[in-house]
Amino acid sequence: MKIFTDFKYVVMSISLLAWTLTAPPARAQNPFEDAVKQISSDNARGYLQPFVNAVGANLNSGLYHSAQIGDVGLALRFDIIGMGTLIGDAEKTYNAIAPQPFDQTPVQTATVYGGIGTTVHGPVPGIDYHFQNGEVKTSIVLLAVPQLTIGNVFGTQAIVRYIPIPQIGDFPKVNLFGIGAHHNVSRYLPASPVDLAVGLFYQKINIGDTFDAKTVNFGAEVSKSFSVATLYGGMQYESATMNVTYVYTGPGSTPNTKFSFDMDSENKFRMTGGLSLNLVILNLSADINVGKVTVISGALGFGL
Amino acid sequence: MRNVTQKALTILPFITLIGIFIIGCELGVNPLLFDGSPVSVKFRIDETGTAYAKIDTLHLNGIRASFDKHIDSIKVFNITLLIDSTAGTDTSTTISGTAVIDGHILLTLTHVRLSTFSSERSIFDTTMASAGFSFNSDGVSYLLDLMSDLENLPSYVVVNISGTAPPGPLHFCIRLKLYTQLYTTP
Repeated sequence: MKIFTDFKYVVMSISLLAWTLTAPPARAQNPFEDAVKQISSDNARGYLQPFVNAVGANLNSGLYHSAQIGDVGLALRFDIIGMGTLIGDAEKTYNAIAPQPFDQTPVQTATVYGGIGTTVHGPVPGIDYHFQNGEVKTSIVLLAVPQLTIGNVFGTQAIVRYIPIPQIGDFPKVNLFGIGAHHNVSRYLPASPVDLAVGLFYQKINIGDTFDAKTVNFGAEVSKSFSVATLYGGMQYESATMNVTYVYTGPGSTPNTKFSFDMDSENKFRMTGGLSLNLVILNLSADINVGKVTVISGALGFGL
Repeated sequence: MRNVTQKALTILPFITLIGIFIIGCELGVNPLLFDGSPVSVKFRIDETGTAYAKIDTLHLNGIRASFDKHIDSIKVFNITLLIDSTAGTDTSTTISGTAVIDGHILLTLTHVRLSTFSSERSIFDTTMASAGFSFNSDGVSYLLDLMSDLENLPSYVVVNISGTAPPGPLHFCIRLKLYTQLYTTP
């Protein structure tokens, strides 16, 4: 019963953590979703692309911290994974086109992570069009998720992520489910000086009524243990697709038009390098992932 | 007490993580822009002759109707003209005349074919000058000045249209629509 009680507080804490970090706009009027609803479909893609890249890159991070997987026997580990995608200057602007009657030449303006949106001047002084302003000022987009790793069956471990958070006041509901596995390859290569594994992972996340994303990744993992320390790394192919659905309330002849479109993350391939410390049942890990975007990831885990 | 301590120790690592992660992230830092509800005025013309003259009001308070955020300022970014519902009017009809807002001329038409505005077009569309259409900066500036003083923004302005459209009879609608952006405080 005590274990159950403690587990309840752990779950509550994780939910609070995930809620804090995944709810895009932590304000009463949800400025992030409000901003999106003011942008026409074509411009919304550019405005949101860095957000899609960051969500996809974050979700595809922190899945493994070692390629060492035993053949058979109970292995159970619970981690809180924190991930952060770095936001540079390239993620802060995109090219957009103003509505008629303004010049239809694309102009550079702010993404959701940018500053003040560009103002396009019309044919008469005072007749201007101002693109939406950036609404999130940050140098890193963060996400944290709970992760359970369980094995081992023929050198294979299952990995599960799950967050169910209902809508609370103005905070959108957030649901995340992910499942995957990684398999020890070095069991087929007894002479290998390092541990090798391959992994496959699928995730689905819903944020509010506007964003639904799915991610898939597969890759090769390598690690080498030295006492309590493990150096690990890998290569990974990944994809992330986000469906954006909203009722358009912006300019044009047909306001209140419902938009629904898919956006793909531009992050397709990454290299990972990291270090893990195994302190009896406490595990600490940190890694860096380099691809189209750069992600840093850290994990605090308990288990054997 | 022991129980409370256990709970605190259980939660502590996660609270610490929250503290680490929310540092350096500011949300809603810039003013959000919203499009005001477009407001329009419609004139139904049914005349046996060729002359027309109508007067009506354009309700500016509709721009921020049902908007629940604090508005810092309102700016006009487009004004459009549409002439439709022309059944019963000769297809060769051309229209001349003006649209005037509170005594300030907004636009002038000189022998413009009705079909030119059969779909909604911006009065700032520079390609229409050769078709006999032009906006007037006096009326535009008047509207911009009104919007720049939110505290004294009138609930409506009076719009007059008048002119001729031979050969008659005349059966059509003229619609003027105003598009705005609302700037909120961050």
